[in-house]
Amino acid sequence: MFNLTPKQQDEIGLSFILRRLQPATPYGIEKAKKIAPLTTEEAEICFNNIQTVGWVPVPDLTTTLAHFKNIRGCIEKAKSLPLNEVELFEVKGFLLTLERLLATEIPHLQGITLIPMGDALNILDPQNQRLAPFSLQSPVLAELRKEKNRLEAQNLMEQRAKIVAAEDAEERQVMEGLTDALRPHIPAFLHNMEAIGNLDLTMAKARLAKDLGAVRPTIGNAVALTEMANPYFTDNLAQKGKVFTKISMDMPEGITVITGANMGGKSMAIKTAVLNIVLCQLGFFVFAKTAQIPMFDHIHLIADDAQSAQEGLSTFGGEIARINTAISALNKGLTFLAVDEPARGTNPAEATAIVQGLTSYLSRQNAVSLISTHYDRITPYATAHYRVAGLSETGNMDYTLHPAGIDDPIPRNALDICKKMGLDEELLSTIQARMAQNH
Amino acid sequence: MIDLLKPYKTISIIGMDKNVGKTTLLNHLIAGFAADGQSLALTSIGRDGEDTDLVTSTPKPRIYVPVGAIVATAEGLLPQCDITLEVQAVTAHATPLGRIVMVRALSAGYVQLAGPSIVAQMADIIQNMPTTDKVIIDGAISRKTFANPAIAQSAVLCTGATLSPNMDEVAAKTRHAVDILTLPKAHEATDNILMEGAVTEGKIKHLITSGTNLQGKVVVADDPTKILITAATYEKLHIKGATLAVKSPLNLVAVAINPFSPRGGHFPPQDFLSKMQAALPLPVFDILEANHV
Repeated sequence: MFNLTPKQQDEIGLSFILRRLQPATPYGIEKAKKIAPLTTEEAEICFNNIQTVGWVPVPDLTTTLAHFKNIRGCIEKAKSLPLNEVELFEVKGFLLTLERLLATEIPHLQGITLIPMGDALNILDPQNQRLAPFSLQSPVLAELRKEKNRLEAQNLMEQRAKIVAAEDAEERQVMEGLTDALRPHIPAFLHNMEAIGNLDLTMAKARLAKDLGAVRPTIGNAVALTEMANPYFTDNLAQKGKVFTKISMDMPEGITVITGANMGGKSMAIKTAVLNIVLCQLGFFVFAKTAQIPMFDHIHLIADDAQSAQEGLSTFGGEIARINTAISALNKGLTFLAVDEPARGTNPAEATAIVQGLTSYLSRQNAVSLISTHYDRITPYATAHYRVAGLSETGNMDYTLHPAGIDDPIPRNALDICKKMGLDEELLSTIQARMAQNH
Repeated sequence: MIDLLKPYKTISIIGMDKNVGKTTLLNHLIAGFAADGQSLALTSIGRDGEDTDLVTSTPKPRIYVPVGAIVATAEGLLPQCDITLEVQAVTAHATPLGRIVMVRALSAGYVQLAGPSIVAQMADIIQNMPTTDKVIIDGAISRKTFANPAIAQSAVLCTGATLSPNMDEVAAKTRHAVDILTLPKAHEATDNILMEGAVTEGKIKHLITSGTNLQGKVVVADDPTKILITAATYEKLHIKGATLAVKSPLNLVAVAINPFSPRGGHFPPQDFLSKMQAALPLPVFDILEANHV
């Protein structure tokens, strides 16, 4: 459902966030690797659970979870083959950790229940000692081992060899017997691995939300985000001694247009919106003060030039191909479509018509669309309009995004940027003269 | 020998070659420490403990452990161990024979050892073993690396008749190995020549022929097991006025000798012992006699 390339996932900061998601168990890690968009119902449950975990201090729980080893291979094998003593040790370890987990105060989470498996543990720990070491035991083995020790003590090594063979055979019997006894518990093992994975993933999401400052989004019909942030950009800018300017934006169904100065942060605003919308779909809290986000069926970001060259298309050609893909799915559920400066790679006269047409078309669709542009006379077709504050009077870039009227003109400050960038004076004055003539 | 090793918790056994009596020494140490009431843990570098020697097909002594010993070995070798065992832990360290597991011997018996071949993994395993009085690390052929001072507090070198039919040559080869393994800790000095990683013949020959003034200079290796030069090259370095030293010295405590060679031929044990004692600056033991003069 997400048509985001791996490069786009890096660029919007999604990879950055997913790397910071650190479950403690192999089952949680499996879940994190297969993370996928949720339905509205699943997302609500997921958010409830993250919220519940977030309110309970759970250091004991994390410590216990960290003890779980991956026994999926053992359980798979146990379906048809006897487990050996090392595998039985690992299964016992899982059951001991599960018992500890059940004795810990676990916050009540929707859809995540652990099945107690004391009966299964008793198979591997019949004396109820609840210690990690494991050895094969049976009355026959006890007798054989007594004899083995006696022969060792008397140094009767040939006779001992016979006992060792009998011990081996009996141990195999015991392994088979234990595996047979465990087999009916396989569904409970599988259920618990699933539940542990979900519990672990929920806790990892809650930790991430707490560490990076994310809030629970409300699932609604339109996008409304106040003071949005993007930890990836915040991190990158901090390394350059800069600060990320938080972004507030309402995007109703229809099309929202961002206009404003070059270098004013339009691309960052689009990527930050996409990141937070995607995170919500994946059941994460989002980086904003408040957030209302719908559950989308499709999400498209069209912003990446390098992709076109790989496909053997020009920037413009690649962009048109991707816009076509996106709009072909518009009637198949709710779409979020973000396009960063559409048609920037072609001549301004035609490009203006293309962007006007695109804006007008998207305003009538079952979609929430967001585009940034420099071209004139676009906003009359838009549902909402935002403008980057741009160069301030002191000559510094103000990245703040301000709501603007539908009829507000496109700001013209390319020349100011030229000046700020220290463009050659002769060239600059030639440009200024040209500009005066044109008007 | 047992008395000599008493102060050390971790002991590494280094062999100069196959069939120098490493396993015999190991069994001797296991029995000696057990008789002394010391609890034991064992592990190995690479694989050892086969019934027959894979190189020469001669029968090899097997490793026999007492009740209570902790053994860290690959899970794939457990079916070939005839102790009654209790699994204590499964580590994440993998070998071609499966992960390394730690077991406790509930009966005495023979074991097959295979441990990690990475220093950091060995250090981790030793650290996470159930606590015992002694930890013995069995080295494998040509892998002296695990006498690494970071892992073992003490080391014993095994040598024997298998090195050469000529007793003097065995003495000379062993003397060179001992000289290298007992190199002192380097003093901090600005004109030290630091060599990271393996100190090879090539590197030292290059240094000798480079025209650098080596008079009074100290060539510093990470630890003695990284130094792989011949006695002749070491001698040439000396003539140029340079000495060798190491950042982490090894505590080589004794040398164990085996007068028998599996290729046939052996030295008169008493003559061999006297020759080696005269040639080496460390206590020397005949591993079969285990007699210390």
